[in-house]
Order: sequence, then structure tokens, then C-alpha cells
Amino acid sequence: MLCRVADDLYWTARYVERGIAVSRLIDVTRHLELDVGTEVSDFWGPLVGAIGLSAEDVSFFLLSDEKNPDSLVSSVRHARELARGIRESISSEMWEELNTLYQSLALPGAQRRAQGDSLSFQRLVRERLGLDEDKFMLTFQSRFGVAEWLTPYTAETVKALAQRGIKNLAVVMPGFTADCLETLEEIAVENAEIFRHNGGENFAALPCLNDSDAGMTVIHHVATRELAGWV
Amino acid sequence: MIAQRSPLAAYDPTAFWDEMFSAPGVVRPHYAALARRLETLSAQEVTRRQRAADLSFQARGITFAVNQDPSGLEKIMPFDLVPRIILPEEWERIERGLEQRVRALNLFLHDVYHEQKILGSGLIPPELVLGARGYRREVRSVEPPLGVYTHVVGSDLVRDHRGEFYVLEDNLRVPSGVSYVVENRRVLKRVWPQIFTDYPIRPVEGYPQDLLSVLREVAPPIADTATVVLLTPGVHNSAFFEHAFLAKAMGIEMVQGSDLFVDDATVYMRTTSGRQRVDVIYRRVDDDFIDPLAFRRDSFLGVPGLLATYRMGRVSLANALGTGVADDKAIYAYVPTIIKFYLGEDEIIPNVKTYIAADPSERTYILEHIAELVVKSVNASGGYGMLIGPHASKADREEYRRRIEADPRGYIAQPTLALSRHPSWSDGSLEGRHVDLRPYVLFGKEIRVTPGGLTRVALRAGSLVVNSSQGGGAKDTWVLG
Repeated sequence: MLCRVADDLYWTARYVERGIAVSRLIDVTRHLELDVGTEVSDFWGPLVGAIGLSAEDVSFFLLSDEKNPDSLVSSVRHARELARGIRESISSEMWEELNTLYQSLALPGAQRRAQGDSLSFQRLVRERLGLDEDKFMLTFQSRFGVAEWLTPYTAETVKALAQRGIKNLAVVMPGFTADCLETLEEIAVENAEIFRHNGGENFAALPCLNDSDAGMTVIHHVATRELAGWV
Repeated sequence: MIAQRSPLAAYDPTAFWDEMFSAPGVVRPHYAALARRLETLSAQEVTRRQRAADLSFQARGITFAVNQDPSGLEKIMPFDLVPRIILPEEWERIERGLEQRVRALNLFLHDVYHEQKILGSGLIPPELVLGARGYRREVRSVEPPLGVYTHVVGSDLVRDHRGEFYVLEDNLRVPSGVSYVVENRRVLKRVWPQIFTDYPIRPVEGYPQDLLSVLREVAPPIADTATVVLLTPGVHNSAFFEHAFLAKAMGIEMVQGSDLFVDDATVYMRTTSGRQRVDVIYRRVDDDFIDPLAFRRDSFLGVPGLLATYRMGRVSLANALGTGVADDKAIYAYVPTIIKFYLGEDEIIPNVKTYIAADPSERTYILEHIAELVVKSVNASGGYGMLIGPHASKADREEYRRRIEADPRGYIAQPTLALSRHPSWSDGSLEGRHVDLRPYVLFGKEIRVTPGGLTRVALRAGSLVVNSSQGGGAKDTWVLG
């Protein structure tokens, strides 16, 4: 192996590790914050103190500030740049993983594109079911990555709805064609609990397409169409 | 013959040679099966497959950096889903024509660096050859293994309004683009596999293995098992993806100049287990930058002492040094003469008529007809340094007039060609766009032409410039078996 390749491999790994460390800081602090709920808390205090910024800035600074060489976005960019230079020496999967992660975090418009897709889904469903914005709303679950990921967040919305006196709530997860265990745990267990804990009564997590014969027909159709010419 | 309202019904092939249509509504026979597939495709379906293709290029980082783009972002080359189809008999002629051309050009290169018989023949002005910027006195009398100078050639072919193929230019230095030949095929198979069932298509994915064989064949005789490496200028080079792609596919190291050094007339690479001898360098670095001791002193991309080692025959370079003299655009005009001189044959694929500004009477013609001609700088590539007379502004034409008068040896001119067109997707409908074809020729013990090539498309309506750096895209190119 070339000395340069060995060096760049080492630093690729270092930058990925640094990115993981930063995102863990944020992840842990957010979880603590959510557990405590509405009580005033100062979990961000130590981080704010260490960095010398306001609590609002801190997650931006740590996650998406390109001027901060240690932010998640910077770490991923460095790791991806190094991996690009040695892509012939690493597995294609490792390169693609880093490359797509970088693109989802850093490329202009990545967030807006994600939001655009979801918003058009929301509009279509509303039109079909004849529901207004109060009855059918869009929230975002995944909060990995960029500081201000797409809002409103699911957990916060569910809590607020229950506190407003909403008794019945159904949640659909359009990002999945088949039920995802992790998401089910988050929605059907965690969020159901948040809802009931705050005064809600009936909570339903609607199953994905795999749960019905009609849904399976759709999946079957798509799979056959895409595999035509191969099998 | 074509259903109403299908994307094909509205297609107008116009007066240009159209690769798919022989007349409005009349599809050429070898495109019939593809036409049937196209008719069943809705606009949404096309958009969906197009998106899948773009995503695939983006995720795998099949991108190029655009020179002079300050944002430094990499772009994907726009990919058009409609493949270009070449008949076996058309291909057979292209193959023979390229083989003839490459053989003659290598004899020419050997001659101008050794006996120089052609310079004494009076057929080609000696000052044109010896004064060419690509002529390297440094490699006079150097004997490359097997006498081969151009191990990899990518010649650009175009078709005129009668469908006749011409060679527009030869790329004999470090031709790029072959990774797109392989990747475009791979992506099209992924996003639109159905169409592959209708045709017997010759595969292109053997290219990297063929290239590796060629590189091994030209190893210095001193090496028993040759160590082959690919020398890249680094991640900032616009073709960096291709360098990584080829190195990985061939299973060889991709090195940068700083990874190599010369000691005791041997080239070594620095590895984690000490130095390792290098026998063959597939170099993607131009002559100018390859050895700061011999050529440009400010180059950080090369290897000090490489030229001396090469001259001793202790390392092979592919392509050899000094091939630029034969793809100088003024020398290009003499390729038919060169073929006749060395092989005693007439050229199989003709040249485009070329006026050399260095010649006084041809210069007068160029200056008088600049509005009808395409003017090209003899050493530039990538669609830079050219003027398309009919499309240029008056100020631009004046500018080129001045440049030609100041440096006649630096320019040639050619008639503006009515390049053939091919249906391509544009905003949900099929429209004719100008195309060219760059096949790749490998030369070691024998000459191999990869059955396929890069079809580049000028995606802007009416544009004649197909270079990716100038907004061109690409198509998969099928040679039928």
C-alpha cells in the first residue's frame, strides 16, 4: 500500500470518528432535554459554556457550521474528500456511503428537496381525503444530521396536540413502503406514550403497505416492472 | 406506422442526418425495436428513469470538476436515456479506418523521432513538424517498446448530412472519457433494462482488462513481472473519477507524482513496506508536467528524473512522450498523406477539410471566410480555444482574426459541419441534438478497438459543441454484434 493511501485512510477514519463524537454530544443532550419535557432545564449549559455561544447557536455550530472545522458537516466533508482521493483503494460501498452522507448534509438544497417531496405528498393526501391543515399535518421524525432539520418535529407536535385537548390521533409514515421496526418503536410506542401521558386517548400508528393485500399488489407490481429484463 | 401522439410522432428530423429517422415518421430498421419501447413510455416514466440515472451517477461520484468554476462543486455529466445504435457493417468500417490511422500515426511518430524520412520527402513542411509545440526533442532516438507511441487513442468522429463518417480530430496524448463508456452502459442497464432484451449488443466492460494487457505488453524487457501504475494529477483534475475507476478496475495502484521517486535509474513508489520498483506508468499527466527537471519547472505533478530513466528504457510510459506532435491540428490535415506515405493506402475514414493558417494562401482564405468556418487553436482541446464562425459575434470574429494574424502557426480552420443528430429527451419530448462519436483504440502487440464509444450530445438546442466542459451530455452507444 502506498504511504499516502495509508495516511489518508487513517485520517478518513479520524474524521468520521470526530463526526460521530459531535453528533453524539447533540444526540445525548437532546434526549435529556426531551425526557424532562416542559420543565426549564440547562442541559445545553456545559456545551454552551465550552463553546461560548448562545444555546440556539450551539447546535448549528456543532452540526452545520462550515466555518467550524470540527462541525459534523466539516468532518464529513474532510472524510469524503480524503476518501475520494483513495477511492480505488477502499471498497465501493464505503465510498458511496461517505459520498451520499456528504451530499445529504452539505449540498445546497438537500434539505429543501426532502421537504419538497414530503409537502407534495401532504397536499395530495389532503385533497383526496378532504382534510384541512388542522386535521392533517406533516411532521418530521428523523433528526440526525443538520441542526435545524426539517420541522415541526413529531414528538413535540404530538405532545402539543394532546395538551390542546385532542383525544384521537392517527399517524401514517409515508416514508416507508414496509413497516420499519425502529420507526414503529418510535411512533407506536414512544409517541403513543407521549400522547396518552399528555391527555390523549386513542392513538393509532397506521401500518405500511405490507399490511394489506392491495398494498402488496402495488409492491409486487413495482418489483416486477423494475425487474423486467432481469428475471 | 407510428401511433398518434406518441413522443415519436411529433419528432422532426429536419435536414440534418438523423441517426434514428430516415424521414419524418420513418424509423431506420435497426432502431425499430427501440422506437416501439419509446412509444410505450410516458413522460413521467422518462422523468422517473432519468432521475434514477442521475441519482446513480451522483451517489457513485461519477462526476467531473469544471475548470474555472469557483464553487469547486463536481457535476455529473448529463446522461440521455436514448441509446445510439451502430450497425455491424458501419462499425466494421470504423474499426478498419481507426486501425489504419493509428498504425500510420505510430509509424509517423517513430519516423519523426528517428530517421525523419517524411521530412525529406517534401510531402509535409518540416517546420510544421519540428516547430510543433508537441514535438519533444528530448525523446529523439528513444525506442519505445514494440515501437508503439500511442497505447490509448480516442479519435473524434462526426457524420455529415449524408451520413458519411469523418475524423474530426485525433486525441493521442491523454485521451479521457472511456470510463463513461463503461458507466453509461452500466447505468442504462440499471434504469432501463427492458430495452437490452431486443438487441445483440457487444459488451464494453472488457476495456480495463484490455488496457492492462496492453500496459503489460509494453513493459521494459528488463522487467520479468511488470508493476504497472496509473499516474494521476490528483483530485482536482477534471478526469479524476476516471483515473480512480481505471486503477480500481485494473487492480493497480493509482499514484500521484509525490508517491514516486527515481533512484539509480529506476522509478520506485513509496509503500508502507518500503520502496517498490515501477515498470510501466499509465500516465494521465501531460508531457509538460511530467518531469520538472526536463519540462515545466513549476510542476508539482511530475517525477524529477523520470525523463532520464525513460530515455534509458528502464520505465515505460503510456502514452509515450512526444505524441502531441501527431495530434497537433495542423499536422492533422496531413494524416491522409501520412497514411499514404507509410502504408501505401488511401484513408478509409476521410478527414474534414482543413485550412492551415501557417500557409499564406490558406490564411487569406480563412480570414476572408471566417464567418463560415470553425477556427481552432492547434493545441487546445475540450472545446476551449475555438470559434464557430456562423454562431459567433462580430467582435469575437475580429478577435480571432487578430489572433490568427499574430500567430498563424497556432490556428487552423474547418468548414462548419452539419453534424448528425440523434433524438434526445428534452423537457418531456424527443428532440434532435447534434452528436459525435469517440471510439477508443488500444495498441500494444496488436490494435484493439473497443466496440462502442462515447457518444457526446450537444444538449443545448442548435449547439455544435459536445464537450462536457461546455454543457454537453452523453449517451450509451451500442455496437450490434
